[in-house]
Amino acid sequence: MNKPSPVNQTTLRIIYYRNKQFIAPVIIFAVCIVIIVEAIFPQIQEWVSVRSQVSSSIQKIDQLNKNIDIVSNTNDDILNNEILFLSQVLPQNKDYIGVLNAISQAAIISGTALGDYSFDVGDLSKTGANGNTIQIRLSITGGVTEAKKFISSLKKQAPISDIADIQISNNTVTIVSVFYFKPFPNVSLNDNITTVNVLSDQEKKLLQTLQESIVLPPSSNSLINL
Amino acid sequence: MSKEVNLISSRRKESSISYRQAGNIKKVAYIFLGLCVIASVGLFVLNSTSELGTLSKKEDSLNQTLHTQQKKIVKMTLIKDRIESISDIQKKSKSYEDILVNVSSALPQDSKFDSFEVTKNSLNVTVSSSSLLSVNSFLDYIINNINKNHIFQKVTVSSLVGDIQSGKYILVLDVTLL
Repeated sequence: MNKPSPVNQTTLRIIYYRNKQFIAPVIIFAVCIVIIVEAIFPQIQEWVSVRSQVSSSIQKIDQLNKNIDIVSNTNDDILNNEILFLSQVLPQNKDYIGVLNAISQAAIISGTALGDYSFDVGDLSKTGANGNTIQIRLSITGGVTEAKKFISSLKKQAPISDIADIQISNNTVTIVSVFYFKPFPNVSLNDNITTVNVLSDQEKKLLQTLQESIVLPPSSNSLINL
Repeated sequence: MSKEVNLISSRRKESSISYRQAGNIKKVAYIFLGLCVIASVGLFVLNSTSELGTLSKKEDSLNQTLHTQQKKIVKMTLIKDRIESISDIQKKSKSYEDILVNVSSALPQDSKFDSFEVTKNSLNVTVSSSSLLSVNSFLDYIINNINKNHIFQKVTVSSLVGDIQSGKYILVLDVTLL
């Protein structure tokens, strides 16, 4: 049996002398691999991340510039008037005076004789997505024609209302009308607000329609202090 | 035979090839190392000189500018909130005028509404007339308009009574609204 020759110093020296010209390239390749793994790959990752940050930052700057333009070109007086108008169309709390005023105005405009009315307060703890409501049951003298006229003119009054029920019998129209109110959302001046809520074309059209159709009572001047 | 004997010259040739190969490998290794160093330094410089810092400063400055206009922004937010709520209310709202117009226009001249009740989903109407033909024409109008005018969905005749004493026909209808 052939025994494997023992690895001694001479053998190692021979292996070294035979391959010594390859030692330097092997070490260089090893160093290159270390550089690639430890330096180049992380740098590439960082570069990709920086690129995405730069791109998002550019988008943010564009948006901020647009927002600044929008806000600068918006007239503060127009905003005040719009808030004043909308806060009467959809009040922030139970506006009983506004409701009574709307009903009497609707009766005057439609030429109907207003009878009894009663408020239905309901559950005060509930708050719907579109705010709370005040329900009022009222009666007017007349039939279908008078009911039609009254409903039509009530639609043009502030606060905004909807009809829940109509009963006509014995020359008396009983209408259950629902008036809406909604508290203002909690927006603080200290918050770092950067999103500018611009009205869409449809919303602008709605605002314009409301401004054209709804006539506010002359005494209304509930200014909002910001 | 001479080749087998003269081993020294063959070994020299082999070693010269091996040296040449080693030299080539060394060159490739140095080029590779150079490229690695250049790429590494290049990427470092690229990352450290990116415009991110400048953009971030610009963003902060614009945020500050916008912050001075916060009152207007809050007002715009409130306006948007009101308009969205009003829009939702109007979308859910039913046109009672259309119902009243539709039903009343169908009523013949010699007939009248004894009672009329409209809720969100239903309409209960009592019509009285001295002519059965008029009652029939009113009923025909309502039935013919089911699913046509986007108002009536289902019509049920609750009762049709002929009152001999008053000489009137009384029709009671239950209409499910769309």
